[in-house]
Amino acid sequence: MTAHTDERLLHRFCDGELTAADAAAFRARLETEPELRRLLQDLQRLRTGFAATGAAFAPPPGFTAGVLAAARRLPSRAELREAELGAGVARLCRRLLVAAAVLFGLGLLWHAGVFGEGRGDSLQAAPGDVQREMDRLDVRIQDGGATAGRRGRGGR
Amino acid sequence: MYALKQNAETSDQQLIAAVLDGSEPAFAALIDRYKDRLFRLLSRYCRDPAECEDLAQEVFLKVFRKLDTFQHESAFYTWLYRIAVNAATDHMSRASRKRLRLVEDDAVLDLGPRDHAAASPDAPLLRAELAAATRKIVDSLPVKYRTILILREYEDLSYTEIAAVLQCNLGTVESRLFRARQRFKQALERLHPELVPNGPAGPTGGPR
Repeated sequence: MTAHTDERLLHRFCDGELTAADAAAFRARLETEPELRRLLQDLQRLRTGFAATGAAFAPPPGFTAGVLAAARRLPSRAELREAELGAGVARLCRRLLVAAAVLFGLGLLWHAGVFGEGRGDSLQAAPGDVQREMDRLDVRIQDGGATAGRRGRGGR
Repeated sequence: MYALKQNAETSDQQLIAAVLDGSEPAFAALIDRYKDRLFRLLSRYCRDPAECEDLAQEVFLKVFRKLDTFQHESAFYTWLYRIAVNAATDHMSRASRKRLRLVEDDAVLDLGPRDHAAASPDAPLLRAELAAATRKIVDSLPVKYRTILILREYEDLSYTEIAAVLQCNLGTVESRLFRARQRFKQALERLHPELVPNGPAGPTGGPR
């Protein structure tokens, strides 16, 4: 058994957390193992500081009456439940409003083309521009075909 | 109004049912039953009686407000302790925001090394010093170690009860308590080697 396991066992023994059988076995070990006995004494001495600590504060006279008076000033349980429900609904509404505002803002940014894939890259263009672009592509295709033909002949 | 003849045998469950039914005497009986224990627990977190009383009142009012959420899965006092520990922890963090307390303050350091070579821990002077040092060191520990030491050493709760109060499993209780005691011992060795059992200057120190 490791020293660490022994120490943990020791703490459980000291705290009365071992079963009767385990405690008896541990007591038997204490008889034969001086090091374990020393660790037990150390722990017990360390705990004397807690046992020696002075008395706790006591409730003053009239404490119960004071709490009852304060409790009387509290809203009733039904009112508290209503208030909690109201607060929950208000919280939900607030979150929905924030989400809607964020979505609206994102929509505006998208509309303005901030994200690149937005309206700025749409196919909306003047018919003249479309025609010019088609002509340019035709020229490129034709140029590409002629160049390929020249390469083919030159390669033979 | 819930009619209830209150006596020592009235169970917590009956009192709680009566409080939920609007009985003020039942709530008074519940307070009377647990106020001493609550004060004892809160005394470990507070420095003066007024602070302790305010905190105890806050705890009982929380109990009153939240009583309908008590599930009866654990004993009422463990539920009460849970609320008290949480309230005390919040109170401490509020207080520490107001004033940063140094760990090694006044009395702990003022004690200074003394000759305890021949003293036994049972000697009244040594016991008093050890108690004062213990309190100071416990106060300076991180809250999770402080709480578990308070529940075990001052309140004498079993591991199962501590697990119910802290809402954790037994393994966590055991390991946290073990680490808390190690931290406590290290602090005691650092601040008061003369008070450490079998330490270099401890009461039973010297060659073994």
